[in-house]
Amino acid sequence: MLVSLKDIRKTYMMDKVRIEALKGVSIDIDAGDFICLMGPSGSGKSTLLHIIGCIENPTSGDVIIRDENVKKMTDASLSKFRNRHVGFIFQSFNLVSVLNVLENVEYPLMIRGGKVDRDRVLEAIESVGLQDYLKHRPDELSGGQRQRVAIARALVTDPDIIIADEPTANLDSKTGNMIIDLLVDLNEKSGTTFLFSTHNEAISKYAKKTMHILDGGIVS
Amino acid sequence: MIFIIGLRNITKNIRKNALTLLMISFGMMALFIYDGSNNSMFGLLKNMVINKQYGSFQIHKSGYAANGKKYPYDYLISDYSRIAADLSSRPSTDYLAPRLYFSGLISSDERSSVISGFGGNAEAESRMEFGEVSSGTFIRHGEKGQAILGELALKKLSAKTGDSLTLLISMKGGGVSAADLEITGTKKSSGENDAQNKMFILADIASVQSLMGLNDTVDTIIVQIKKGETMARAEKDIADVCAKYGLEYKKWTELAVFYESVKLQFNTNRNILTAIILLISIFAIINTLYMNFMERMRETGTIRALGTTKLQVTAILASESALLSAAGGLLGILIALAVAVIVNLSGGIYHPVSVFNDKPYYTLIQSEIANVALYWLLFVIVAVVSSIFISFRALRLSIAESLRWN
Repeated sequence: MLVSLKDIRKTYMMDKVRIEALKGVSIDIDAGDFICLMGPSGSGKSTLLHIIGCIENPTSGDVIIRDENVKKMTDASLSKFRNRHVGFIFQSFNLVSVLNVLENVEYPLMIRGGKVDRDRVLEAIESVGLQDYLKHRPDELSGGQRQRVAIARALVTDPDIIIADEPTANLDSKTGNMIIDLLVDLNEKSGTTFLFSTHNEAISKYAKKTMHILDGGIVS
Repeated sequence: MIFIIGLRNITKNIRKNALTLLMISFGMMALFIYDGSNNSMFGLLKNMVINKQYGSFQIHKSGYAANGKKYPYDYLISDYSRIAADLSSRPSTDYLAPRLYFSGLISSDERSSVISGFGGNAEAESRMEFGEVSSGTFIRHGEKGQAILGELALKKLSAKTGDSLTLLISMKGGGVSAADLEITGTKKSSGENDAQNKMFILADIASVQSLMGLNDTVDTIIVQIKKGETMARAEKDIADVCAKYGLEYKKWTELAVFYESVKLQFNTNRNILTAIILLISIFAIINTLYMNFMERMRETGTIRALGTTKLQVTAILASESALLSAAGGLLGILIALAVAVIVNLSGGIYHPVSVFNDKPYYTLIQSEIANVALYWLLFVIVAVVSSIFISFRALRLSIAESLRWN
């Protein structure tokens, strides 16, 4: 078992109103899974992805990744853990605007300190077909190209799981399909575990498993 | 790469950062110029204190500092010629000004007045403050029976320069002696209430020694050292002579207490100015960095998600502010250097007559490299501390909250 969530609850305070985003979610994810998380806006998809990605703490419950309970980790060790075991692909691409393609992709390796494996970086960029855009800044790329840079950045650390929060939402359908094809291909070739959220039923068909979330609970 | 990100973040918000950079530059420039002008003024003051007033060193008989005022006759230097010859042979000595202080009574045809002053060597004293007379001429070298008086003292006696006045002074061991002195000139007063000027007299030392019955005797030897000579090297010579003849000495810094207090006051003003400028700079830096940081909140959330620690995020921001303040400081130094060259070539900064100076004067901009480096470093440190403060505040948001930031 790669990821195991046990009775995860998440409560927010919005002004004085208490909002229960997750109401006791328990799921297991195996290594090599390609899982699609579906649900309407406000159902708790992003919160669940953030908690699995260790960028948000649950109000209660346990998150076990690679047999480690992340709740017990300090901020610094959690940063290191994310860097080594979790990759992220965001809806709005979220590239560092002042870095070019090469620098954006090598960034997760650079922050580890020490020498960056440039071959590994170039390999990741080649795997998304952007080897001719190494010196381009994000504002010089199309939406699809930016998302491919984000995928290369997620792949470069060879993580156990890649979390993609609506990765095709800001792309046209053709580019969105290309991105999903790329993720499927990477999952099949490298065995990397993918967990992505989407509204798009057509895209969910690519997934090996689909989970539906509604009002903070997994319904199927 | 942290520095590269910091640098590129600066160039990304070029207009906003340029304003902050200019603000820091102007602050640096103000400190450079103020400090440079202060240094020049203290240089002038130091020269005046040494060359015109106290000399580099003053030598007395041992024990004079403790008891000389109370028992002046017990602390006289009776073999001046021998000591003067020894001192003059030292390579650091430029010239000597021997003095014999006295007080007594001076009389014109109509009036008498208490008088207090000293006998001095005309040639040496003419090079110091009393050499500048407000009327008449200074006493002539090699001639006896001459004196200059305070202009208020002369006025009190209803006398004028060129008149012959009678000086009456008590001798060592009792008895009174008198002599007629030609008043060759007057010393300028600082105003009608200048009590010292009302009693001031400087007579030729030979006449004073003769009146007091103290041949070849002085109580003070002022030593002026040669230009380019260091105080430390000259002090060795002076200490050597003093040890040899049972004398003691004081450096000009010990005598001119006011110099140090004035310097302290000006330095306090400079420190206050520095603090104000730094405070303004802090606000400018905090404001700019905070806005920049808030604009990049989602980006910060992203790099945090990728594994960047809080410390690394702080380092990015700190490098940004360090680069900004270092560049601003350097720009300020360059502008100030250009201003200094122009001002110094055109003669310096004009200071009009005031209660502190009876003549206008000019100061140059002569900043000390160590001070300028310190200011520059202070700007960088303050900027880095400000950025740490900002990052601590901004990093209180969770990564997920940062990613949701609009």
